[in-house]
Amino acid sequence: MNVLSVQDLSVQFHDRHAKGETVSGLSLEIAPGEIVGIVGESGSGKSTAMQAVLGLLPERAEVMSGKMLLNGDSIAPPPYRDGRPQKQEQKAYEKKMQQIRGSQIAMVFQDPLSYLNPTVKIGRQITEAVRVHNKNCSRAQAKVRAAELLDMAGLRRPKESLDKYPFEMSGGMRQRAAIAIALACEPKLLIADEPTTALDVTVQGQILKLLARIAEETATAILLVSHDLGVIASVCQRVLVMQNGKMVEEGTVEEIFYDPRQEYTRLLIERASGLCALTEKKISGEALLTLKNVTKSYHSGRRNLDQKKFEAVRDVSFELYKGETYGLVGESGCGKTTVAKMITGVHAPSGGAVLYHGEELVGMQRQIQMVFQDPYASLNPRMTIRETLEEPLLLNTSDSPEIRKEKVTEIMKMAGLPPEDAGKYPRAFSGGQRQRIGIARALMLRPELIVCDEPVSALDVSIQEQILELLEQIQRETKVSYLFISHDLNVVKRISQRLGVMYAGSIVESGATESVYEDPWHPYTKALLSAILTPDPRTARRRRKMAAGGEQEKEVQYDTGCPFASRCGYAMECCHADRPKTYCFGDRKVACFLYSEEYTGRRSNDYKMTSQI
Amino acid sequence: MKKAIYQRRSRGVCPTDVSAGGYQRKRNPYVLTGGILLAVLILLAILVPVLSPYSYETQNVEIQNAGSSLQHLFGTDKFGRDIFVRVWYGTRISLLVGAGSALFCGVIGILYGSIAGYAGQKTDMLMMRLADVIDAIPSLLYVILIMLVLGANVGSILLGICISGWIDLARIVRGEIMRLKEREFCVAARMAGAGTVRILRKHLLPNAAGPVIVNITFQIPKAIFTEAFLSFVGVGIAAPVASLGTLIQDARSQMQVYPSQMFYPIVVLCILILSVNLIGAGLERASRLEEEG
Repeated sequence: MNVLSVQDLSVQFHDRHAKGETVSGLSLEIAPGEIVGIVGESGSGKSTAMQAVLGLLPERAEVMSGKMLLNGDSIAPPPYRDGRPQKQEQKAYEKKMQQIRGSQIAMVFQDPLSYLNPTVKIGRQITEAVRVHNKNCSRAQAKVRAAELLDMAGLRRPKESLDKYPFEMSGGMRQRAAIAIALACEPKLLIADEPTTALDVTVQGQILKLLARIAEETATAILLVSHDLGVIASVCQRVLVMQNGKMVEEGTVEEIFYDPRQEYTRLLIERASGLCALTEKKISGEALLTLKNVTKSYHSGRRNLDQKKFEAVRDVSFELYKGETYGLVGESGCGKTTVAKMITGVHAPSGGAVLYHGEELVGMQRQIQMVFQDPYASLNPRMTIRETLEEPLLLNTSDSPEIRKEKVTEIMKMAGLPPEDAGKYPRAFSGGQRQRIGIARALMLRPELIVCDEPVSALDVSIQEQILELLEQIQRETKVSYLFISHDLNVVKRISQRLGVMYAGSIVESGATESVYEDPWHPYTKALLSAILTPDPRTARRRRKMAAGGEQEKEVQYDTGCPFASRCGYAMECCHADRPKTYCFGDRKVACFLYSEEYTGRRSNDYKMTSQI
Repeated sequence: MKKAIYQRRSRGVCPTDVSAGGYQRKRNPYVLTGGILLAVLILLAILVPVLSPYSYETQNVEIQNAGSSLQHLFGTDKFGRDIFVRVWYGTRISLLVGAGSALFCGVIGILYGSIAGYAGQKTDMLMMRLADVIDAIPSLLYVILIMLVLGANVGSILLGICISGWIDLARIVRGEIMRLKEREFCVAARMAGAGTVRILRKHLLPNAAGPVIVNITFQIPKAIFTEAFLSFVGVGIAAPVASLGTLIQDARSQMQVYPSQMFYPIVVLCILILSVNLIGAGLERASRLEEEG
């Protein structure tokens, strides 16, 4: 018998934002032990549908369904009369669902930090979940069960983790704790709503492996909701594709990925795999920006006493040439945003120097502009687009209002925005359009260098494609240079000619993008590349064991040894004792003892170095 | 004294299908009602003392303690003075104190809070500790001391209320500025070359407008009540000047025999405070809806 059987589910919001049905006519079935994926872009209604199944939507959302069965029992919400909910029926429904939530159906959300109670220890949150559904369970028994669950979820020291608060744990550990809470009462169905979107690439694979293992060992059905086709391809057996609230196609994972019947599905898959394509470009010219041994350290604690020094950026050096795109890749917490802030002048480096055109940078330069990550926070909500775009001109030139208007129109056209929209406020625009406005603002002063700090991370795949194309087009027309910072390897591969990989504050490898991707030298680069989830089910399952377990830790003293040594599969004794220097071989630089002369032995001058791993 | 507590809601994600154009102003019943009431009161306060044949201090023993009649709409008090005229004179004083304190405290609070919030670190710490010290002394004490020195008039009361009335607002402004300072649009403005003044004027303060406006609006009834209370207690405006508080005090001695004399000034005072409170509540609602929209 199917664990969950939904037929003709529709959700209609009754408020001023309502534009038709958010979900219409969705039907799905899921059997025990099966992993079903629901894929769609943001706004397609997948999360709303999942919340509707559990009855978590607010009162203004009317849920209608033909049939909603959980193991044969009906869990359909009561119908609305005249657009209003009936109080008695709602109360009875809520009571019934309270019994079901947690014990029969459990849910794991996207961001574990906002999902876990920050003031309650993890152990207590799990025991609470256990004891709510099992009134006879004593506190001691619940604690034992909690430790069991954390162990099953893959936390390394489960008993110690029981006493930790969520903020003391890293992202991957928190998500594991959230999964442990979800599994506390052995639910028949686990709904995972974008469980890995907020996590680093290397941790993503681990969490997905965990979900697959749970489905196999405990015969729990898993509904995995995601916008990322790579995630879906790696663990799901069946896939549903949603668009604008409707189900577009359904089938096994092989059918969807290798033989899509609907146009939309085909488009989605093309885009996902197309993003990995490489751009061919030639670099020429002098070094525009040079970083020499740049260090940024923060001090915590009182002076002259137990002062702890935390180095966010340590000894970073690279060069950026005119007209090229240099990619800076790294997971969250590696220091790439701090580097961006030092280049744009927001912070001053504690050590080393940032040279622009050969001269040291002091303060902010008009020739270096920035495009920010969050399109919703990067525009002043109280200023019209025209005012926002005119501001750089007002402050730096003495142009008359007509000339300013002309320039604004010109840049808006270049950024793909209709010039008539200049009088509107940011709230009238979507995420992708706001990012275009951000790019237009960066271009107003015709800078030579634009620092793009994760400009497409917050956008949908199809919009990402458009923004990247726009950036490339602008580079062709204006010959501007980009420093492109991202954690998303596919995006960096597509847009940059050279790149640097950062880990825990320093650059571990750098070189031409193509050669780094095809032939990674540093073990961390190899781990990153192997962690990329390709939207191809067969290769996803055949993927070899990952080269690095664990996670990047936040504040560890790096005085002794290579920061990656604790996670590295190739670590030697010297790696734990000294920091490796950066070894240069042509245009490839790598900071790993595997490439030092002591290890590789003396070679002749024209020996061509290759990967040692 | 009532303190307005402004609750911040976290911003949700904007829907991707936002309607084109700016936002629409929804009809706000609170602001409308409060506005009308206040407008009526202001009108009466301006016109009645001008048009009335009676003055606020002429005593006429023959008609003392009269009830309401066509000649004396609110009746007369124990000295034979027309209560109707005196009530509206008193309202003038209340409005003056309310508006004056809101203006003064508003300007000082915004300036002080902006500087402290934007400068940060040492400057911020010094400024805020100074404000804490000023705030620690009860405003009643300030008023009494200033009254002793400058005499019992409207100016002294205004000064006494304003000495520590701006501190709440300064704290709110400082909090908002510190919250908004590191937002990306401010960094972008700095990169374009904006100086401190421009950033405060164009970027930070307009976005902090919500709680600031609400706080300033609620400052008005606070000041009105303080003045009425002090006059009632006898520390504020001195007789024969008519303040709503002194009217209530005068009527207290014959409260049991002629209750209407106390009734009228109390009702007018309540309606005055209510109208401004309604406006404040309406503004708070509007700014919260705008935040979420």
